[in-house]
Amino acid sequence: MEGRDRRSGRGDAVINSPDPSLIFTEEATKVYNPRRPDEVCAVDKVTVAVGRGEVVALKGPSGSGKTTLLSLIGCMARPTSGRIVVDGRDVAKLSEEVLTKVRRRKFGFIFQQFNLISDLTVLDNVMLPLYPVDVGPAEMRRRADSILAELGLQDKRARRVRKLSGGEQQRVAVARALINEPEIIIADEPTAHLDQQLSDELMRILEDLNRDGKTVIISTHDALIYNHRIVDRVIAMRDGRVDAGDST
Amino acid sequence: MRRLKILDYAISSLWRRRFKNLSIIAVFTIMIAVLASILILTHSLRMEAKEILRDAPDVVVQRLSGGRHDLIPVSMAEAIREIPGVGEVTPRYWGYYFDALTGGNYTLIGLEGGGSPSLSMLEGGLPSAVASCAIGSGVASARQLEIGDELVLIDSRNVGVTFDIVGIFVSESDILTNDLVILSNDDLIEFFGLPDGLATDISVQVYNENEVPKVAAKIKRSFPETRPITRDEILRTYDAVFSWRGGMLLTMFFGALLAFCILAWDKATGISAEEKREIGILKAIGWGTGDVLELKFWEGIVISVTSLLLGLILAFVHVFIFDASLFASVVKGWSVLFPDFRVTPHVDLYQIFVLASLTVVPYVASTIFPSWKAAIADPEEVMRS
Amino acid sequence: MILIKARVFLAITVIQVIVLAGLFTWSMSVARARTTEEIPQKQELVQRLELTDLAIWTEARYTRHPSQADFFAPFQDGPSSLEHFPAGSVVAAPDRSRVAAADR
Repeated sequence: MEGRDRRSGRGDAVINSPDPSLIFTEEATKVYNPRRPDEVCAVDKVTVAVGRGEVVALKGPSGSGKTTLLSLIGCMARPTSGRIVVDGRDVAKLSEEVLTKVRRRKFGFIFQQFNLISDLTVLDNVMLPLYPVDVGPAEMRRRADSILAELGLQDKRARRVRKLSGGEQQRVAVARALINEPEIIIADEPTAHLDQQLSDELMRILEDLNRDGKTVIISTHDALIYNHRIVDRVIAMRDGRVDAGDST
Repeated sequence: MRRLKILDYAISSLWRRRFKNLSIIAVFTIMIAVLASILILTHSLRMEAKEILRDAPDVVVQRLSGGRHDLIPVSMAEAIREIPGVGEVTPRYWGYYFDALTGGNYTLIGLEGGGSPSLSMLEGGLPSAVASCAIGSGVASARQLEIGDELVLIDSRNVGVTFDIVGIFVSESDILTNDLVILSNDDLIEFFGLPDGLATDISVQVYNENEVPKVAAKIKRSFPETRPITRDEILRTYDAVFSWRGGMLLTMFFGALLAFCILAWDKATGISAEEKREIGILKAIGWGTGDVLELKFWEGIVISVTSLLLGLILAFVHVFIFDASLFASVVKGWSVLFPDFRVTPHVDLYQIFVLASLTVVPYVASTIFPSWKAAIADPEEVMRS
Repeated sequence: MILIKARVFLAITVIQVIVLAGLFTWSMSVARARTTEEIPQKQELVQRLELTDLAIWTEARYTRHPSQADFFAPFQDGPSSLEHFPAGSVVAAPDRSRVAAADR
């Protein structure tokens, strides 16, 4: 890492990195409740890199820090120390406003709990990321319709999410993650609540997205997922650290 | 466009809890309607009192005896007439009559000079002959009387006295005449059995309005047992009676307003885990802190502005079209005769703006502030907690 | 129709404002009409009958003629006695400051 050519812009460090990685973390650490009796070091000096177009699986038992690492990479939380670089920018140093923009433009999230707003319709949920953006309502609608059609949800668009099956909800979550045309898809245990068939279906969707050039990062403890043919690389985690012996 | 979209989402968001939010709008609307009705009604009454009592006697001189209002010697009128600047001085004869038949209290007023000229708000005429009277429409309807009928009142000797009704005041004048029974002075003196040479009080005309306080002071000095009441005091009495600070009603509903604020505060500060999670989701999928707060702002605005406008419309309709009929039973007390508040509409825009800012601002604030903490935190933190 | 909810809300709000403005202008015109017609007639009544008060509450002397009432009438002859008539709680106490000033 030494000898890297650095150039700092106003507040947000732009790094001319020889590393072609889209994302890399350098000794990223996240401590919850610092200096308190219930202090927890969820992610401990993790250094990983993810290249453009790669499909990376984070594996490890629950509590190993997978979700926290995904949050750090996805700009949903700031590291206690260390650096997170996304597309050449050190996100730890970005202002709240810029961070929001990075999150909005670069990332699409698929959560373990789906995190949909269950009383809203499918369409409203899918369009949700576009409300605060300067995209006209007609364009919002067009994009949502085309994504829903791709995912086979066109007939359900006026249904309330609460009334959908688990698999359908997961597809709605995928549709919502895609609506802002992100470069990176972050999926946190996306198959935890799905049966085998639905898991396969989701993996097929992710495979298609990857073929379109999207970078995918999945956290999972399901062997069928991290051994899946689309996964380029597995990073194993244990107790907040990268378990070098088990990663490929 | 972005603003409109967030407003649209805010409404979707409110619509999800429509039962709760519509209830809040209903309660809020009623509260504002009541408060605004009080403000508009009292303001209109005050303005009306100010205008119509402008021609009340310049000074009314009462005699006090043992601290109570007592009959005043007519001879005092002569002495008052000697004061420079004083015009006409008239002994007034009037009193109250409890009508056991209807349970109402009437105000009996003696009139000198009889019939002419007649008054434009009086149907028929003023009493000119002996044993005739003109009555207010409240008395007329309580006793079911018309012009030409007879009004029988029981005098101080427990003898029924009959008066021919020669005039009834039109109901538009109820606010002044509802409970009046106008008799001639002689009839009234006879009816109440007032001793010779004594009147109820004395009205004094002062030529120059600016000299009224001086004349009043002079009367008080010459006759220490009297109490001169100037027209200015009469007007100020009504200013105070209908002032927005006066009256238990307003105090009561101010309490209601505070209670509502506490409710709103409590509702909002106890931001539920569900709402917190939603804020976390919104932030995770790319909403900024400002966007979330704007959403909350619109949620507050939609509820409070809708309630405010609805409440004001209801208040207007209530006070000016239905003559504040809902209040009558509250304000009325034990009055048997009670006029409709057929007031001339006066609206004080300042009061309306105060009401608006006292309702909209706290509500919006109590919607935004509790979300503040969740909105500024990192999404991961919000969703985790 | 896009953003229908926002548009409906804005439309309702605009309608409410228009209704309110209509009521307001209507009340103003009524007020003007009454000021020119009824008010002079009422003033005539006040002048001719030498009225001093509005005939609103008829339940007690001091509520029927608040401006003519004894200083302590609401206390029913005893300073510690409680307000007796309901309307008395709606009517604010008369302003005596000027009287006190005149006495001095």
